[in-house]
Amino acid sequence: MKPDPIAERLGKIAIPQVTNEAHKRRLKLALLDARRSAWWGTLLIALPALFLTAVFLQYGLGVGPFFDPLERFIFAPIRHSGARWLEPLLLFVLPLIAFVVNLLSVTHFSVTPGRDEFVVTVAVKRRWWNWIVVGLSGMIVAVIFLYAVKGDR
Amino acid sequence: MANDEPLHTSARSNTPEAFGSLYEQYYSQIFGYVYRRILHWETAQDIAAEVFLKAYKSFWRFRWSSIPIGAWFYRIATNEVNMFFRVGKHRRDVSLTELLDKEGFDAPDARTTESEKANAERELQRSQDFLLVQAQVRALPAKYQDVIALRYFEGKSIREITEILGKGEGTIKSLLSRGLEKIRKKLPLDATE
Repeated sequence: MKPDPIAERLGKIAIPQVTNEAHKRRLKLALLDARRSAWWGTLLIALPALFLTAVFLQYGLGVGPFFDPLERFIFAPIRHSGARWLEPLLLFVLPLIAFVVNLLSVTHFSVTPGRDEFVVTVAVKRRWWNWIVVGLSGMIVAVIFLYAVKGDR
Repeated sequence: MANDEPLHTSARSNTPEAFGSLYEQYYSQIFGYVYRRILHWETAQDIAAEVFLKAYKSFWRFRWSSIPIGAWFYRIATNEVNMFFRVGKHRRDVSLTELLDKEGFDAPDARTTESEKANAERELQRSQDFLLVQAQVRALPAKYQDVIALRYFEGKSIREITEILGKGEGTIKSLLSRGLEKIRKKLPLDATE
C-alpha cells in the first residue's frame, strides 16, 4: 500500500522537547513529601504521647486506667530485659526525630546570593497535620528532657 | 507504553512510595505532552499538577491488570487537556499555584522556572513545522486532536492509543485517517516542506 504523504510528513516533524525540573520538584514536594513525614511522625510519637497522657491522667487527675498496663506490658519488660536504652529511644529520640523531620518538611530555606549580601528566604507550609506533629513531638521532647534534667524518677 | 512499565513486580504496588517512583518516571512525558497540546507554559504546569494530583488521589484503587500505568497517566492528561479546551480559560479545580499556596510555599526557584520556560519557547521557535501542524490540529474536534497528537507528537503506537483512549483499534485508525484527511485540506504538503 502506498504510504499516505501527509502521515509521512507528520511522522518526520521535529517535535519540541521540553523539561520542567523546577515544577517537577515543587509538585512532588507538595504531593508526597509532607504527607509522608506527617505519617511517620505520627507513628513515632504515638507511644510517647500515650505514655505522657497516661502519666498526666494518673498523677495529675488521679485517674489511671492506662498507666499501669503501659508500665506493666511495655516499660517494665524493657527495663528488665537489659535493653534500657530502648526507653530513652522510644520516649525521647524518636519524638525528636519526628520533630526535626516534620519541621524540615514544613519549612523551606532558599539563599539567593546578591552583590553584597545573601538574601535568605524562609517559606513556611500551611500543612496542619505536620504542624500538629511538630507541636506534639516538641512538647513530648521538652517534657521528657525537663523530667530527665530534674532527675525526678 | 509497555516498555515504560515498571520492571519489578515490587514496584507494582499502590503505595505513596510506588507513586513517587512512577511520578519520577512519567512527569516529563506528561508535562511535555500537555505542553505540546496547550503551548502555554503556566497552563501546562497547572494541568500537569492536576493530572498528578488526580492520579495520586485515585492511585490506591488503580488496578495494575486493567491498563498499563503509562496509559493511565496519559488518559488522565488527555481528559484534562480536553476539559481545558472545552471549558476554556482557567476554570480549574486546582492549579499548582493554588496547590502550593495551600501548602504554604511561594516560588523559591522562580529563576530556574523562567530559564526552563525560555528554553521551551526557544525550542518551539526552532520547530516552526511543528507549530504549523499543531495550529491545524488544534482547529479539529477534540477526538481527532487526541489521536493525532498521541500518534505524531508523542510517537505512540495504535495499540498504545487504544489503551490511552479506551477505544477499539478500528475506531482509532478511522479517527486517525479522518483527522489526517481534514488536515490535508488545510495543510498543503508543500507548505510543510
